[in-house]
Amino acid sequence: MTPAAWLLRMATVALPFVVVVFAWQIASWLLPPYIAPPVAAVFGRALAILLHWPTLAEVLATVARTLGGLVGAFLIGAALAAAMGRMTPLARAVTPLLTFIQGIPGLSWVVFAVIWFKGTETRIFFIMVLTGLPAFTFQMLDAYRSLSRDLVEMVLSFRPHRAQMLRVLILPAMLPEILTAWKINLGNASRVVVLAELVGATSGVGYELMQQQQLFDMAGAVAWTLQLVLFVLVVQGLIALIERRALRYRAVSERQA
Amino acid sequence: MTVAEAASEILFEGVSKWFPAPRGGKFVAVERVDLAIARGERLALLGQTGCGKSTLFSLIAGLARPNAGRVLVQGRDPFRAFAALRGHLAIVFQNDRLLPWRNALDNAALGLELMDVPAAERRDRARHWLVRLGLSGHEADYPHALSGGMRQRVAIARAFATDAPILLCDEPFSALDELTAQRLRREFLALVAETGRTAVFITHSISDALEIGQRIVVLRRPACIAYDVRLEAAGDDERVAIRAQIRAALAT
Repeated sequence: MTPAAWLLRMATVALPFVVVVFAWQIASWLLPPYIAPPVAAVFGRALAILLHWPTLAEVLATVARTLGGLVGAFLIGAALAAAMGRMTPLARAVTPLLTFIQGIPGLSWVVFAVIWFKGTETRIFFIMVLTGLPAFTFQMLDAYRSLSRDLVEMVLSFRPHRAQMLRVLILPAMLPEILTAWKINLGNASRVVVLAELVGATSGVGYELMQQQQLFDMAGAVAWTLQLVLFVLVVQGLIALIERRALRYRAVSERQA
Repeated sequence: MTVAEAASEILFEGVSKWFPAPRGGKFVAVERVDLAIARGERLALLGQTGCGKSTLFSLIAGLARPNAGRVLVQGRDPFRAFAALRGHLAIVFQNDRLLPWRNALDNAALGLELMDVPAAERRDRARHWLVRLGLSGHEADYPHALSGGMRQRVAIARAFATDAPILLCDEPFSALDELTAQRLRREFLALVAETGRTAVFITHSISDALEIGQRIVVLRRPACIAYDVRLEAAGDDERVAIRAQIRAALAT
């Protein structure tokens, strides 16, 4: 990509954000600060959160809870999907249950967790896993079932161990779907973690948002929200990097569909 | 071990295989097949589409289990002794079946990797076969960057690199254009003859069977043997007669 093309691409990405920031700044001139604080105040607060350890620790706690919950949901979901993929009766039995769990709102899980568990971290982990589990399981199961029968037979013809089969075929073949599942579930998890912290925690971005609401501090509320957005952007960027590296084998057509 | 077991690299004794039919009942793919393939023999399995050639193939490879009778490969049941036959069988499929996330070298080395051959050795052996098959300089290419003929060469390299004494080939050149198929077939036959492996070729082309096989077995639907002929000493006139007999066997 030429520098000019890169600049154009960056400008295209940045333009909508510039428009929103500009509109916010105009609103801040017309409205009281508790409704639309100046852009500089919001960014100042956001930067202060990142630069001071006690507030940064709150952000990192939320990040750790989100990633911990996602990892937990992914591992359990992948194991469940593998079992369901191999045992059709199990898939028949578990699928309606997962669909039922998927239908339960995140807020209900927060209430259940507060009633059922004492520790904050246990509550949040439970909520994160239960809200992420159905999606991860269904996505992994779909990826497992989409494995090419031709490739499975080819690898089997060399009589591999189960672990070899997993390493040389199943994991690489499922990787694109795994990465997509992470991208989708990351957004959901960042929303659920805030909900869980709002009600069931005494630390983290969700808890801090609750404090800002009680103080009617809009600049603080936006600044804490930006931390979560920043986290999602960073992780999405990391996943995109992994995709570019791990999926570089995929052919790219000059004319896109 | 019986005399037949001792003399045969691959042995079918009264083998039947059926599958549940979509609307109940069963679909018989292979019916009471008796077949002994000697060590170092080059056998062409000929039959029309859907006559059970590929099922026979899966039975030899141990990817399917017979419903009746028994299959032995080097004296062992290929389905039950699945792991014990590691490195004894290699398959060249109709399509290349390369792993798209592996480059040509890593694809060619796949069988060796699964046989736990050390990394340096498997790369050397895979490279050797890629070079022999005219793919020098393409080791780092991913399958999408290779032509159909080149991809099939990688698949052949993958099978030969394992040094397996038994080669199973399921119409390996049928997806290629005629010229490429002809050239590859010639090279492939030379390699099989040079390495002295037992080779079973599936084909639906009489010409291919006559070119490839030292022995031709014609299957008719469901896979039961309709004709079995050895070609080693056959002269041109005899080959013409054999061709007519194969045609007649296929028509029954």
